Amino acid sequence: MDHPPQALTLNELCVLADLPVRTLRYYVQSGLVDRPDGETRAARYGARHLEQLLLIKKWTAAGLSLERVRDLLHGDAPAVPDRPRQAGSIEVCSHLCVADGVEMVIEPARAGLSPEQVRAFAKGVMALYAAVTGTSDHGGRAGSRYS
Amino acid sequence: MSTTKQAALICKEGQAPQLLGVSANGSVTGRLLAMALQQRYRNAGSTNVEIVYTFALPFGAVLMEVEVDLNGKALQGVVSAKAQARERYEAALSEGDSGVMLERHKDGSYTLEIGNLLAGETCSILVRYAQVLTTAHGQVRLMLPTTIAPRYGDAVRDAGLQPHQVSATDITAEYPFDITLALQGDLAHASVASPSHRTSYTHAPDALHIGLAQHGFLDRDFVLVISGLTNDSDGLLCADPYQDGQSAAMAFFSPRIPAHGNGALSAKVLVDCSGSMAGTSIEAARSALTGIIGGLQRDDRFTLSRFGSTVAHRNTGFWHGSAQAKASAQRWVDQLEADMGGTEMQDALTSTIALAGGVHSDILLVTDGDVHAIDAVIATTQQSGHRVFIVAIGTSPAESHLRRLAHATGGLCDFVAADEGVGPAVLRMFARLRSRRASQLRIDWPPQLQVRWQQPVQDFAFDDDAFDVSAWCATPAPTGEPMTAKLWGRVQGLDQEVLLAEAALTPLTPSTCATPATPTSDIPARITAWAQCSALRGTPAEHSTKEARSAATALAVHYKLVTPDTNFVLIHVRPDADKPAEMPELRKVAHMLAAGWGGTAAKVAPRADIPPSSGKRSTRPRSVSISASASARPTRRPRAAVASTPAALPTRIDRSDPLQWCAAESSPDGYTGVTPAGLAAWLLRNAEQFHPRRYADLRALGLGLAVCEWLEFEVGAHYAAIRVVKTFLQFIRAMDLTAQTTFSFAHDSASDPLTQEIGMALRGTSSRQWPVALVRFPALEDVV
Repeated sequence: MDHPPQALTLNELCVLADLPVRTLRYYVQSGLVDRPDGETRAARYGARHLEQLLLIKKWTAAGLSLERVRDLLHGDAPAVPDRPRQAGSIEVCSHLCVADGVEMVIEPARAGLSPEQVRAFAKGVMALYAAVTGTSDHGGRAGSRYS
Repeated sequence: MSTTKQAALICKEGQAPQLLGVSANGSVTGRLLAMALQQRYRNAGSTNVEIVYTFALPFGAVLMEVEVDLNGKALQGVVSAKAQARERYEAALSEGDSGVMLERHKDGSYTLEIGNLLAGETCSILVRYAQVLTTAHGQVRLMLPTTIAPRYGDAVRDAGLQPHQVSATDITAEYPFDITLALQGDLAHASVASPSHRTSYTHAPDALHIGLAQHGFLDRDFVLVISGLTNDSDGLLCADPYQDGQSAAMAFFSPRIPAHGNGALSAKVLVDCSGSMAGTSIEAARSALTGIIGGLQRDDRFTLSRFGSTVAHRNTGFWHGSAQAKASAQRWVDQLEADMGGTEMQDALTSTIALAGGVHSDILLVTDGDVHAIDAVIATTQQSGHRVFIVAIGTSPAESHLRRLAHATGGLCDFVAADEGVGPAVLRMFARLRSRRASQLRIDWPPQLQVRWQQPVQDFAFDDDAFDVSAWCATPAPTGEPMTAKLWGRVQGLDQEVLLAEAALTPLTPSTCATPATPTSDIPARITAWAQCSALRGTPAEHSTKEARSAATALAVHYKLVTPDTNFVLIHVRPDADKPAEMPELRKVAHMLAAGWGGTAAKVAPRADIPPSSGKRSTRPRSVSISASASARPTRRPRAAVASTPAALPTRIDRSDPLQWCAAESSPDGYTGVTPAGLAAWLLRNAEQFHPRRYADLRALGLGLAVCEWLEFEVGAHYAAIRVVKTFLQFIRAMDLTAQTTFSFAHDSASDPLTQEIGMALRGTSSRQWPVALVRFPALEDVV
């Protein structure tokens, strides 16, 4: 290697980690791998980044989803087995996760809602949650349906 | 192994949508569709972004052009080999320039990347494609997918996608969709309807114009059904603008196979009962199966299976199409629910293929096809010699996957949209299953054309199901004389080769294509080049040689085709002052959830129509690859007949006692339930008020399914239920069964016919075993 391990370019890191460049850039974009030192052409990656990549490869090969890998990489506690289900039937519902700890359960057929109404309802619930918890308005959505 | 919890569809934070909408504009001349899809994007944020959108085009669509408009300025791109295109794109982004790239995946989906779209900028991408519309039984089905439904499995491992290409779904996403179509030629005068959208029709002297009558969204396939067509074979010739001295010929054959009366069919029915089928899809599946069962004849043989994360077979040996078997099958269909979890299609097919000793048969698969691991499924089924016929259900079924599966095995795929009647599709399926097989197809091109390469022809044909074949001709341009291409084949039961179809080849010249909306004259040449690229690359299962792959790449670049080996790429150099200082943030465009998927309503149903659901029965989707968690549906147990103030409760049958209960493992015929001795003992022990009065009560008590159905469908076809059950129980109580004796009955003209019938059937009952014929009901003794 020409460069010391602390200063790899994106392409060199790809070769070492044996991943396509777009996949590597995707991991950086989605926060799975830490951002490099410097930006664009001047971006340099080091041993820390390589380590993260190898861990990601190991865990995805073992079948974990990227969301779970993200939790594990960034210090989450190791997986705790799910509380065992009660013996007998398990219900299957349609859940909408509004925020951590806030879920909305809908059975549209019973409620008599059309897809448009379900979407409007979901948006309304999220806006309500934001208002109630005093969290900032996340950028706002373009109001009009038509461009 | 996965430790992800069963997360639901996550509502994204309120980011402004990057995709503003899609408009489609197309025209059909003859059987050639030329469509232009315009996707409009905007970066409403304050930083530079990279927009990634994975979308699907219809099966058989060939991408012709990509036109990019950045902030109102038209830009030109090129098609080049994948690796070079990726390098150029990545280099551009690290330089601070902008780039647009479109790549195609093996499964027919495409990923568009717009890199370094600066704050406030807009971009519009126009994708033009051409598609040959195939006619089946006088009907043309025009489909445009607008979303990709969540698929079972891991996209990266099973479908070979890279993480950035995996599509996500957001239930709050909402993108407008609009379409206009112009039908020309015989299609303009045919019967046209859309089962998916409310459409408006305008008649012009030479064309029929179709538009949406209501605002549309990217949440369901656009389907247009054009029927009442006369199914004639047809063909096109046109000069190749990319190669001097060459022209392309395309023949659309509608085979005519001589009929020979209604053949008997042998079909293994397999129904997808995974979570994604919940709601309108499983209802459509039930309708389709009811139609299929209704169409079965006495000599037909069939088995029934359903699958999700596991597979459950109703019968392991064939049943004939007798009235009793059909009644039993209908009972099974009525109880189908989308409650079996994920979609392990490969295991289900392997298990179904092995039924009835692996005897060659056809498989009739009813599914929405939402799986990633389709290549493995295709490989498994191809080996088995079973043809797979598919009834594809849903607002956004995985068209490409299912057509490939059907085609690879010699079967066909038919589609039923959410609100469409299933009847016609079922009738077409039966016609195909019953028809004689045609194989060893051969095409006779006119010698004047000097055909030098022909697309590999499928080795099967069905009556009235058209397919197309392309060929390169070593003549420079079509001459005026009329020419026909002939399709020959061998038909089962006939010694001689039969002429199945004749296609008259019409020259297509620039003058016949006047406006930009009509197909351009280079389309046949480029479609032929596409066919040649595909043939060189081979199927995913075959390993093409390196030379073949480079030949395919070179051909694709020459004809400007986006294939799994070539990408469309465009680089836009920015002035230094505009170059962003940082790499772009990712904005992946999430799909709208396919309407009706997994129990979400496809349309508002009036309250009266909704079937009463016992317990909660919709799905719980799981993060990126959405699937429903496994569930065990509580068995419906109707209450046993008890008096209003029971003095004592009825006892239960001891299932651990082999004298009273026959467990599945110990029974040679697969009978599970109470033994004759066990039933007799129970009847003695319990008061008459607790005795079963109806078939459901017998079933609840533990009498095996086969014996119950024999009573209900065979005996009970002519007598009232209460009488049948009472007579049956009288026999059981009167039987004096010990370990050595069996029940015998003599024909006695004095007693009534019902007693005769039950008595005769119960001959041979021993203390632990019911008569073999009853246990195997409704199969007949002579089947496999």
